[in-house]
Amino acid sequence: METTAVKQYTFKDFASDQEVRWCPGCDDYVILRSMQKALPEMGLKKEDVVFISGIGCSSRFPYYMDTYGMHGIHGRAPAIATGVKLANPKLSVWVITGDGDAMAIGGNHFIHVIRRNLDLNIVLFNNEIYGLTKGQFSPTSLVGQKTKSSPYGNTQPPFQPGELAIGSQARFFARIGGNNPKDMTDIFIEAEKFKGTSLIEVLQNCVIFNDGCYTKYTDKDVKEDQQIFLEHGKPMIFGKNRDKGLVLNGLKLEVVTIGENGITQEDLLVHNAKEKDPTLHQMLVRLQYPLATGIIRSYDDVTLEEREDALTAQVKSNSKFRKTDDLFFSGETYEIR
Amino acid sequence: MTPVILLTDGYIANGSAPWKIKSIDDMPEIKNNIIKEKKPNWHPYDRDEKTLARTWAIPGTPGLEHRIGGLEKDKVTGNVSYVPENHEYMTKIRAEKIKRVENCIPEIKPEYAQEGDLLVIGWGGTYGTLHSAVKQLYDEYGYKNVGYAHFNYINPLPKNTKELLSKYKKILVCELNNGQFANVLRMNFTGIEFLQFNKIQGLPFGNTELVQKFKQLID
Ligand SMILES: Cc1ncc(C[n+]2csc(CCOP(=O)(O)OP(=O)(O)O)c2C)c(N)n1
Ligand code: SF4
Ligand SMILES: [Mg+2]
Repeated sequence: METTAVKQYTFKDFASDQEVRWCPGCDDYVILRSMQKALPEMGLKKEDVVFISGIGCSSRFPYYMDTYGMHGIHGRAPAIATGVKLANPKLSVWVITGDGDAMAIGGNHFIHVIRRNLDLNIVLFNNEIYGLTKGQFSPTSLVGQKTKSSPYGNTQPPFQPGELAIGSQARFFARIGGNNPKDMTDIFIEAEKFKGTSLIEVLQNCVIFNDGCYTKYTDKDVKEDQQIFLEHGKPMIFGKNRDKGLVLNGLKLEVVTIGENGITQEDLLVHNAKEKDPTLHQMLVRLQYPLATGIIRSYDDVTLEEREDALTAQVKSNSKFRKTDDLFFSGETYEIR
Repeated sequence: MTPVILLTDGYIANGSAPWKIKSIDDMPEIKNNIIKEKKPNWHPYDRDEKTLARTWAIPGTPGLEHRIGGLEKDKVTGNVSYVPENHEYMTKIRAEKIKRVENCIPEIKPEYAQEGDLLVIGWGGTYGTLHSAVKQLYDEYGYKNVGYAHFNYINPLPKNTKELLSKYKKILVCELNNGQFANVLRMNFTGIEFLQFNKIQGLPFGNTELVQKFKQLID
């Protein structure tokens, strides 16, 4: 990305003049503001930033950003974004999607865009519900969850977006509470820096159709005890008193207390987000207590653009086709006179 | 930026024909409406007076940042608009833009009789069978009152379609379906009777059945 002679922006430069149509109190506002605050820190030119969304409450996001944007087709933002990025690789392309958009109708696009590792950023607004269509269960709704389309409780086990993503070879996966704008802003900046597809799952509260779905993890009083905020190179420590941590016991993560049973901080696992082997990252993603947040995985790998460029250069240097006509008139063509 | 839907069928897909390959130099230039730099008073939804096409500002162009998408947009600014009158206006102008494509496509020219008792109409992969049946009637059996029109454009229709239809006493629309194009024609040209000949067996028309049907309508 070009960083020279970039104008200094403030968050206001990224706010469009459009009336925001989300319900008052929706976490989507937090995500919007965090993004508007993160962008000036990224050293990008405004015209090089593009937001591509699918359909849903979350997908209205591009209208509220004063950048290029496209409110796309349900579940198809990754396809559109791929085209935008390949057409002009210097752009910073952001996919905005919801749990339904990304994992129900767009499930196929979602796993494949992650697998390919194009340099894109995906922000997944996970409210465990279809918000826009007024509260039907989604692929992340919990078993037993009562919704408009599961009045007696949902019977379908949910996806963990991180588990699905890492299973699809995600190189960058972060998770953050929808009420934590500060860390969210930092994560957006890190995601932009990362070369490859970055997925950020925001635990987004929908005040209307699924209110409180994350309170047991994200409420002020409990969040330090219920979440472990992971930082690369730092011990896996959490708790109000910073006395809890994670160790590996056989093939399971285990919560231990520093000072009990001879445990010291030295015994705790140290977070290595850059590890290629995703085993531990998968375990962290699946953990229910504490809930892992922060950048869980950030493994540098070859991007799709790099592979494409290398292949193009190689084929070009050996190819007998120098111009389009060479290709047109090659193969089994003949002339009728 | 007008969506084009190309209709094709199994017969075209599986058929083969010699094809003169053009050099890229002989092909018409593809022109676009990309706007490269900021102009005073530019709006994303400004339209060309003649074609109603909009300019196209692509990501990476300074100062032209805007948003597009499926929600209805204000006719000038391109911002999301919930104004009822604006929606009506936009619906009509989009239809009008497609209608004006008729200025860019060729007029329809019938083969064989230029006017007369029967006009056979076809579209898509039925050209070969319909054409040879009409040719046979015209050349071999001396029916100089049968014409054939094959439509390559369905929406918009060629500009002179109505004029063409008025030149024949009977019109027979032959389709390998239950009559979709006949219905399109009925919708566009009320007061004209469209007879149908349909076959929906996953098989092409046969020459004998066509010739028999055409004769039956003129004899
Ligand atoms: C092709 C298509 N199918 C269905 C819909 C209806 N629809 C609109 S939004 C939506 C679900 C959105 O859920 P999610 O992605 O979780 O977004 P949220 O509204 O919760 O932010 C559905 C099913 C649609 N607009 N288009
Ligand atoms: S329905 Fe839910 S997700 Fe949608 S805007 Fe309202 S609170 Fe937010
Ligand atoms: Mg949702």
